[in-house]
Amino acid sequence: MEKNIEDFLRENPNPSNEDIARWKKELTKKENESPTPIADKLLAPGAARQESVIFLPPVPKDTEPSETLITSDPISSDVSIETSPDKKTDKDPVLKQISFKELLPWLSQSIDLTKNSPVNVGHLANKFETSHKGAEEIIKQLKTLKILNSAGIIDTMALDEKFETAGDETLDFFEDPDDSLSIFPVSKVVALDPTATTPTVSVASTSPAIATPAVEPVVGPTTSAITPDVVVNPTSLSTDLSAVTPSPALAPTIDPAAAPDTPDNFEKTLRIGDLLNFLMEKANEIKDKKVNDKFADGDDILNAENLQKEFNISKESADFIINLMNKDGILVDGKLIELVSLEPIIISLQSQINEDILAGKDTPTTPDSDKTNTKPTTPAEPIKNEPSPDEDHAEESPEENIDLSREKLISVEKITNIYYEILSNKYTKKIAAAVVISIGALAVGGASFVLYKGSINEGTTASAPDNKKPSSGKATNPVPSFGKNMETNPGPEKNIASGILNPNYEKEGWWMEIDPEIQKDMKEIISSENAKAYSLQFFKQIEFLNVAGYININDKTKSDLYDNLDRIPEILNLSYGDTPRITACEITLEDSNTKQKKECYLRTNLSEIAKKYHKIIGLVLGGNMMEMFPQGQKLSDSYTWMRAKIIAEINTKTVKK
Amino acid sequence: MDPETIFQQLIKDLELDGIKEEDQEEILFSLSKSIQKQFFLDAYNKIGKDQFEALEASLKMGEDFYITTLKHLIPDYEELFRSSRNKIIDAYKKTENQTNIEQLGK
Repeated sequence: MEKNIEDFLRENPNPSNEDIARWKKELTKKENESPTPIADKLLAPGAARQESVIFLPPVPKDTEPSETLITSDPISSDVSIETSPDKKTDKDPVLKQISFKELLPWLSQSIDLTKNSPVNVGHLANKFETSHKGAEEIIKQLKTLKILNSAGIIDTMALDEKFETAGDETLDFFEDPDDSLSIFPVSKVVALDPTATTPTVSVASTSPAIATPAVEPVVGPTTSAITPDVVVNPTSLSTDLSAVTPSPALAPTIDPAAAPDTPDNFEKTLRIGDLLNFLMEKANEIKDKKVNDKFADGDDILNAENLQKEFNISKESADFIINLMNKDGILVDGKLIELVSLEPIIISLQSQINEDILAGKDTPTTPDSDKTNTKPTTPAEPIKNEPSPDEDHAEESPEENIDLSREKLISVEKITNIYYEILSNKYTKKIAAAVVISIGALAVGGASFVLYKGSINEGTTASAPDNKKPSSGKATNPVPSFGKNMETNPGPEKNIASGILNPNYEKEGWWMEIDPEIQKDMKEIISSENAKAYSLQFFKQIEFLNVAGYININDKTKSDLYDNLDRIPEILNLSYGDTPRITACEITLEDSNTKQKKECYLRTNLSEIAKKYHKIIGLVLGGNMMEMFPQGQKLSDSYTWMRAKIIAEINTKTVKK
Repeated sequence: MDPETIFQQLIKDLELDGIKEEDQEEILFSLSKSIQKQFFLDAYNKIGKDQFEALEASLKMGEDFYITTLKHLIPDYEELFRSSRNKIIDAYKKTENQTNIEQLGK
């Protein structure tokens, strides 16, 4: 095959795309005719043939003729690397072919993670083991194909179209061999690797043995390519354990003949659990020193050298982990945070770690000891999903499951961030913590009870409640009942202080078109000036905080509550979505017998009023309740406003007619 | 019960008294976030990808949409939340106990 390339390049020193396509066609034809292609001979028994990328790296002229095939895991990656150093010169351009089958899914996966940012050249280069120039060439061609726009941002429509039409097509380009030796700093290897899942930091050693001149010319780009040795998903350390993963595509195996001095532990796997244990020990150590007055400046410093020493990893790998810890607040100014602050971060990771270990996902990535020619790295096993109603998941392949698990964690991370963004707009950290931990799943909406604490705090009497045995709370001082009359015969309004209602509205066509339920609600509101009477029917019951059990409220208490509760409209606004919990207000009731004060929710059921208002405003008055409704007023003010608004609307429409 | 009281109660329950208030805040905030995240993870496992995406979309549309959607998709959401909360709190207490034992050992 390499001879063909030689010939081709000799004949076409500056090949055009057409030339390349023609050559590819001929090559494919010849390979198909060959009973056993060279690459197949070199593959491990049973391993699938990889043709998506043929990478012919440069080898110095003085290199011993040898042939090396390096392939990554044939199951989890499509990337194969073939080296054919004989007859090569440094100046030979190298043809690279990137399969769209591999490239497009990677780009697709990148969409969510890059958030409308241009495709990163470094990521691309590392993913496809090419030089920066090569990656730039890929981007250039993707722009030509309109898959990327001029700013380098993915066009999802074009991407989808290409998905359907690409088939076995490849993206071809020539690369200067010198460029392909580029070593990308570890910091650039924040891979958007869609196959990454296991909770490990994969660290390929950059031991001196590999870097010795005796080895390097033989191994050529193989050793160079593994220098970016830590692959971490773009999510942070403290968010997803599974984000820190080995990348099968970037964990090539070594040809033993080519690298005889390579130590057995060529690649190391640093488990997150080990890292966290180390951090905990270090934090404990610092704490002890502080307690015993033995702490000295700098004792809490944690740097790359410490990690190198502890885990025997490369400087770049250690720097990379340090960067992550800085990002996640585990390190502040290079110092390990105090134990009390560190623990929650660790805990948040711990449960996931345990789960992963139990699931047997501790992925060995150390090459086999027998050093066979082509040793695929062990594919990461999928995170086991718990039983899900999504039956489709059941029979998916391991690779699909990896994607699902990753997708799941990303989704969870995203929604949690949104949730906390909402909370942070409402509360301080302290209150947010208290609300989430104590209230439960509806902290976002349910916290209104905290904000709108009822103004009745002292001296309000109620029937003597027993926390466990709800009292019936008989009315001792009934308030005027508004509801009954109106339910039976609302009829046209008789006494309207805030405007004279045109009594003919019920004969109007526009009125008849209104939903009967809304008609009824409107009539109820306009038929009485007594906002209190109207509202009190919605005051339902009292729930004692943290105690299962309810008591009904007697009418005297209802009346007192109505007179004193502030800022009801906000509660209404929050509650029109049928959420009774958030209509609750906090009050303190005093046991009339024991004089003991008790903290309670008042379940006003104001969402019923809110729903009525919402429908009327939305469907009849034509507006948005959130925008129209007066804020910062008492319930009675809201009622008065609503009533006047309805009457005005009715009169306007009726007069026009 | 006002949030301050709830906060103090949590500090007591989790035996966090005796440390600086800002650290208490940080710990409880981190715990709350872990709990919420665990809840979402459990919810995902319960309702699956499509419905979880709907839940996420509802949160983006506003609190009311989220609450309604959550109740619709996971009627026993309170139970699920309690379970998620227990997982994290238990893990926290377990770790705390372990730390104390190690401290005593030293």
